[in-house]
Amino acid sequence: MLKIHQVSKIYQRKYLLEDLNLEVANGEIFGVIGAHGAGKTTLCRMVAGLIPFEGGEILAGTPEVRIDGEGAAGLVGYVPAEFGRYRDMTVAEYLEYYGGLYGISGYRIDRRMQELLPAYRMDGMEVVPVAELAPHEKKQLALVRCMLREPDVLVLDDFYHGIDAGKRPVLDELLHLLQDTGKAVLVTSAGFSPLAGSGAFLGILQNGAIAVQGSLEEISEQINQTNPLELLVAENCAGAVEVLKQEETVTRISIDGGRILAGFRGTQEDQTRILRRLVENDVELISFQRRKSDLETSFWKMTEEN
Amino acid sequence: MKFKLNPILREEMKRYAGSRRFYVWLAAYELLLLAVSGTGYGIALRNGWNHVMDYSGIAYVYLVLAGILGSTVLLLVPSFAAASIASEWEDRTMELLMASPLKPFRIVAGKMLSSICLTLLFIVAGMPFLSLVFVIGGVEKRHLLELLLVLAVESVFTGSIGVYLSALSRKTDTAGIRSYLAAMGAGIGTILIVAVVYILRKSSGGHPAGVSPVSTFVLLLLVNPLVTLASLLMGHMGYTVKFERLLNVLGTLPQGILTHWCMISVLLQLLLSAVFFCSYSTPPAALLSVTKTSHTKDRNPPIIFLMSITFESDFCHIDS
Repeated sequence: MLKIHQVSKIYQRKYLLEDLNLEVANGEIFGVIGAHGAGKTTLCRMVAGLIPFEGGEILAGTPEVRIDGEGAAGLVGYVPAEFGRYRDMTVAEYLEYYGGLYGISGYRIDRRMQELLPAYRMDGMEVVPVAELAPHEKKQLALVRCMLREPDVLVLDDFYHGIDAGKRPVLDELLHLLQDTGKAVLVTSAGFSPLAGSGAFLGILQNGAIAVQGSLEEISEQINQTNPLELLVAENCAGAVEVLKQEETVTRISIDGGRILAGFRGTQEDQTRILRRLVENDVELISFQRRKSDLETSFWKMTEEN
Repeated sequence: MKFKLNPILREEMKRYAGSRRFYVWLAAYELLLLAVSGTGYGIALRNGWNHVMDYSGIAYVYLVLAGILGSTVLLLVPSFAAASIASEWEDRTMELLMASPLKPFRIVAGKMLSSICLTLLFIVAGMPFLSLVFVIGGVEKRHLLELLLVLAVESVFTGSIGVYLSALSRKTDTAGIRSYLAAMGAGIGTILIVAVVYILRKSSGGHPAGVSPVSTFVLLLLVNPLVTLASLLMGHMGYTVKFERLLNVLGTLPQGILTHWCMISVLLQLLLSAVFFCSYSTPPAALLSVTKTSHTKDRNPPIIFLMSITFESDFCHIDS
């Protein structure tokens, strides 16, 4: 369980994060999407207990414990965006090193490795040098490292960064595994597509807070709402324009032969009403739809506007 | 009660014990000491053919070797410790280190301990050459032990200063340079300050003859590792009086301090080390900045740039 209430962070005398609220239940994945500099990494570090924050509180685990910039004491597993360089260290040595830091050593660390490596698809890779691992394998190893301490909450900063699309399903599978074991997972990403396959509940980080929340479908719909209506008219284009002009929810109208684009700020009810009125006014419609642009472009447009 | 070894110390020791480069450096060091002691003892013992034995010549070889060991400490300890901390930043592994239950104090302590242990390995490796002096005599077993102890104290002292300065560095090269400066500041800078004060005060005149113009400033030398070492070695050689006279030239000091110079300076240096050490218990936030560390630039005065192009950054990395 992870609860972030009214948390603010001041950086260089400005609010980077302001009254941010976010909750991740056990067995849930929450994806935070934000442009570079929006504060994703700062948020991750705050939850991992690495940096302090002004205002609000962060609670993690069951039973809930406050996290306050003095360390998260094994409650929160943290996978930073960069894996880091480990010269001449094998997978086993890497895990033994962090095991030692986490207070697990001797036969206990061997046992944990035997349990975790197969579970995270790293069976038999104990002697592989860490430097030779593929990017997605490094992420897998980082997850294994986190799970040495069995935290309740996991924070994965820019988890899919640098992973080719073909390998994303491997990581998706691991996230689902974490979900099944009841962990609360916070993932960040700079765009939508990496998180598309994870089934995560998404939130867009903008202007220091979570601006929009929902599943991928819900957010797509919300974002698509800034897209114009597109009409293809066979006959009576003028009539269509008349109908549109009378609508309050229609902003701009542009006409190109039989194709009309109308800036639209209405609901689905408004849309159905316009369609009915167009038909009633003898407009010969070929198609009438909300223009769907791809999620990423809409997202960038949206973030640019603000 | 279970004794838990600092995991950083354990890990660094494992790394270096398994690295070829370390043993190459160690072998080179041994060869250097072999060359010096071989030449020294050879020259000193050659007089034996004339049946006129200059035993004191052996003492000088001992002094030179001890001096080499002392310089080793001054040069190696700060840069090892500084470089190993800065390399955590460079390798982007510092963040995870901070996120572990290990307190920053223990992280820094572990780094310092590993650099001290590694340097002491070098020192102990040099002991056999020093002990050859027993063949002739003039030095007692306890003197070697005392030397080892003082060198250990100097390791801790220079290590704590070096680490303190390097905690601010994000790059191994500048960390190494800064720690060298720290060591030189303690070793040479203090002498320079005292010398300058001496010259200034002497030339300004107005001091009665026989009374040194510097007086209390000389106490600054208590933190100078080279002076501490010198006082110890001169004591071994039986030159305590000479040492005291030397200091008296620079400044009038109470006899108590003069006779126990070595002991007092050792205690003072350990105290200062403890002070530096306690300052490491800063919370992670102070050391971990929000800005992307890849763009962090170390700002250094021009002299550091000049030094960085003359020093081999190789010295700063003991790479596995």
